[in-house]
Amino acid sequence: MPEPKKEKTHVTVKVQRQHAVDVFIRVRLDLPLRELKLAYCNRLGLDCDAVRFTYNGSRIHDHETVSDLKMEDGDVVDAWYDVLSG
Amino acid sequence: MGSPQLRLSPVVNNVVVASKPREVVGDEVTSKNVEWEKNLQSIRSFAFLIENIRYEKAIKIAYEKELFGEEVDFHLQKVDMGYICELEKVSLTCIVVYMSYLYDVMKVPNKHGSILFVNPYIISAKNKPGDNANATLLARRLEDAKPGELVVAPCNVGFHWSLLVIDVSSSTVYYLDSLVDEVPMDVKILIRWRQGKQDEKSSLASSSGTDGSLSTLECW
Repeated sequence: MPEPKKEKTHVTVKVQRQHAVDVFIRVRLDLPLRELKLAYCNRLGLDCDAVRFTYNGSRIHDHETVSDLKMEDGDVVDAWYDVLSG
Repeated sequence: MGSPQLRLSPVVNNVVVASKPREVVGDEVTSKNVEWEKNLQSIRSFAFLIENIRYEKAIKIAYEKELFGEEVDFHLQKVDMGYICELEKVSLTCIVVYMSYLYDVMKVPNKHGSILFVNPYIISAKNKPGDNANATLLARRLEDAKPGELVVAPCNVGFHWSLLVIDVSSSTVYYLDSLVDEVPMDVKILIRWRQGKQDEKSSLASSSGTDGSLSTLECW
């Protein structure tokens, strides 16, 4: 008797940024993407407030999840380092 | 520097600091802006555009190799344009968009050959301590400079935008800052270059440049 198919609980997304190495992060489907941002910034030693994340041309909100954005394995999240000053 | 409005302070360690004079020049106060109606309309159109963009919408702008020596993408967001309207802050993306505009304007009279733009991200992005990626990228861009060309690099050392203009052929760095007369330590560290047989000390101490071009250029 075939085993029941396991429900997918995580996806692996690629975070890419200008002049930086690509980082692959495995994320739980229902985890707020704020955690993904923190994980990426901690890994690369960046100030989280200075990095913006976009997916498919839209900014990712902290509370949104992988399920909300219908992300799939291998999808690319763009990270943008920004500097704001007068 | 070509601009007569800039006053250059004495050269310190091969870095020249320029500060903006405070006095008003000529009949600047009484001059009338004949284009004001057109400009006002343009500003209103811009504000209308921003009001109608979704907050999370990011406008992707791809720049070709000729601007920064490499193909790069930037995302312009509503918040960036909002800051401009409110005269609050200037984001790195807005600086890049303006540089692109300048490049296009200068291309018409064919002047762009004398200026080389550096991606402001290279100097302004912060890396881990000990990571010299920024200096390496700047050095790579400086290698593209032809004799007589000025390298223009907007930089941000944490709280304020300033401009580095590098004359590679005379090994001189002009630091243009509208707020302070001192060169920040970050910039001093970034712009330390070595030349062939000259040792580091003599290279930094020379104020008027050197005779030859920089055959081996290295940034730290």
